[in-house]
Amino acid sequence: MVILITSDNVKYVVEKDVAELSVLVKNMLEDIGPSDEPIPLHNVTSTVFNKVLEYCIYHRNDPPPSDDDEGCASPLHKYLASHICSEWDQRFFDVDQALLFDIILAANYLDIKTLLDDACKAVAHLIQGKSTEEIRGIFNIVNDFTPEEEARVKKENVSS
Amino acid sequence: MVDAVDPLPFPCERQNAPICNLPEDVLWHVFFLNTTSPIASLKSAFEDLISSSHVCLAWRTLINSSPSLWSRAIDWDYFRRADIRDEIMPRTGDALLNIRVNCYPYRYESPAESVFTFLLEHWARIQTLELSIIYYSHLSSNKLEDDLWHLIGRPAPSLQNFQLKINSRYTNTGWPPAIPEGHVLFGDQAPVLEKIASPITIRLTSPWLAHIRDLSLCGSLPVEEFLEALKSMSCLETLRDSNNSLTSADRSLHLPAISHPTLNRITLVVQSNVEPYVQFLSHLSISPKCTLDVAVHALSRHAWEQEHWDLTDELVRLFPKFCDLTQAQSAVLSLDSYRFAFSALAPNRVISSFEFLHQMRPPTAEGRMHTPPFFQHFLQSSPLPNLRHLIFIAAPCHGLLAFDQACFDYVKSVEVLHTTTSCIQCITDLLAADTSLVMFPALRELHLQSLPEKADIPSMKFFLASRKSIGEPFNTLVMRKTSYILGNKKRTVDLRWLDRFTGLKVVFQSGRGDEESEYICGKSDVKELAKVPVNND
Repeated sequence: MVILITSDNVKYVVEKDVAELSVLVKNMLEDIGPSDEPIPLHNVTSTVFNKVLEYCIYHRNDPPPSDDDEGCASPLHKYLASHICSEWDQRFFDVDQALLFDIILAANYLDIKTLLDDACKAVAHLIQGKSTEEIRGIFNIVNDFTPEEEARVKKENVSS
Repeated sequence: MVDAVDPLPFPCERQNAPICNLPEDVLWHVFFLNTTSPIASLKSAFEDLISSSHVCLAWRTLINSSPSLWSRAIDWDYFRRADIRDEIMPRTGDALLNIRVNCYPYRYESPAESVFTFLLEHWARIQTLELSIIYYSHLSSNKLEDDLWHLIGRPAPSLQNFQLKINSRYTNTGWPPAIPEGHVLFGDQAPVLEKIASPITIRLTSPWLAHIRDLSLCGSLPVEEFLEALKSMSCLETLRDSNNSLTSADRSLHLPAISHPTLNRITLVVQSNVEPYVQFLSHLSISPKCTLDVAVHALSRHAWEQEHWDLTDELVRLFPKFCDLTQAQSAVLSLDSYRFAFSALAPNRVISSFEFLHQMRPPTAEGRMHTPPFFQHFLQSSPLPNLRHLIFIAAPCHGLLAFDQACFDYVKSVEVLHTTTSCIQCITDLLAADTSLVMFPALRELHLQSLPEKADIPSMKFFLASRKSIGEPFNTLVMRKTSYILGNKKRTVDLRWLDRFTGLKVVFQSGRGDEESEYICGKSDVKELAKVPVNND
């Protein structure tokens, strides 16, 4: 077991294989060797770490990610995958944007590639097929182009 | 990761949006993912990149200074316009190019706009080429062949992924083309090629096969030669054959036994001759982690001959050699009119499947055909003691036959069943015909894809009552608030008949699958079931 302490001083006792999904934690464990010393996670609060832990426990037995999951699957394979595999992930990332971005920051800090990828995909999905105005609305982003830059954007041959 | 970018003139931090708290490299990763299949097709990838680059100054600066984003989103649907090419190609810098082309030779453009001119110009830095040719006229095919071979007959120094599809709307055209005299695909020089799928017959002696990772077979390949060639494909991870490319070896021939530990996915769609695939799989050993998907698509009357069935039986009996599904927890079982399929998912997401599809009616049978014996042999050969989730699909028009009952013995540990109301009708027909029958004895939860309509009420009542009489711990009914009745009209369904099943928990989900509300039969206010809104959005 590994003891982890979040930035708001909440202590977690986590199974080693789950903790080692974080490359940061894995490297720290290798550096300090066998020890009962808790590992501090300076940039992660317990609220966010609860979600990170939930993800790691669910995905602890996943095979290494493949760089090509498209095209080769049979219709049944896709049907099964879309109905069972992704349902959990869809629900997991169905959170408010602030928490979603905090999960991304935590995954980035803890160096958990699959969580970072999956969370970034959830954000990427919000952009897909949207117009510029819709993207601004979804993320509450202000159009901060100067009039000159705005004119340049509008002059571009490819309209959005 | 991120291409070298200048400091942002108006940092994203000046925005109050939470997304602006993301580091630049993570934000870049989000844009990158939108250029990557399977998240998005390349077409929308280009549009998404344009839209994103117009959002704010920080995003625009980041995207426009990232050649590796623009270089991944080149789509001929847009790039056939010279003004767009002139605008966007400079943004790709020296990055390797991922290009998607849909080419229609019937409207062969002027030379300046020819896709082949564009591809030739950038050939040395093309990393991925997805080239889809749809042609209508024989007149254009000769020029097309010339242009195509002028391109793909030359060395491809950067090409990693090559996919060529040729869709003919014109018969007797001779496509896929024979390789013209003096031409060799990529001149046999493709030093970084990892993935290839094309209708052009591969030469089993091509040196690039030594580092190929993803291979789709095409042409006519004797099984003994392919087994021999497989020995030198030490990087191969994915093997597909949807073209019946393998041909049988003489039965007197001694075939080599091949062990291939790097293969992790084999997808075979056998459309006519099953024998070469029996020979191939009999002589192949793979890692237990390898996924095997086999589909036998019987397209002709020949498929009803005993020899074909015997060979298919031999094929399915090979499955246990490749697939240990004892840990499988989820599966799909489909007993359609002429389609029988099973797919199982183990906890580590390894999926194996077998599908048998007949596109010809059996010569004598009426209605749907019986479950083929070899399909049952397949199920018997793969015990599933840990199966918990099942997606069950049946043909509503013909129902289940008594013959199908044996199939359910292999999925009797199922606790959560996902199905449709019409499949419930099929199940209750079987139960009514044989009152001693116990199906899904361990069932706890039933998930329906839509709300039961008026016509479904008798079978639903029968099914729920039968669960009660079994005395098993069936206690949850999950229903999506959608309907199989098409139409946009806002309407409701009356589900008060459910209230008599005291203690049953009913969970209503929106069309997207999110949990919305719960109802406990016999305890909650029955008015909640009186008008359940149908959400067909």
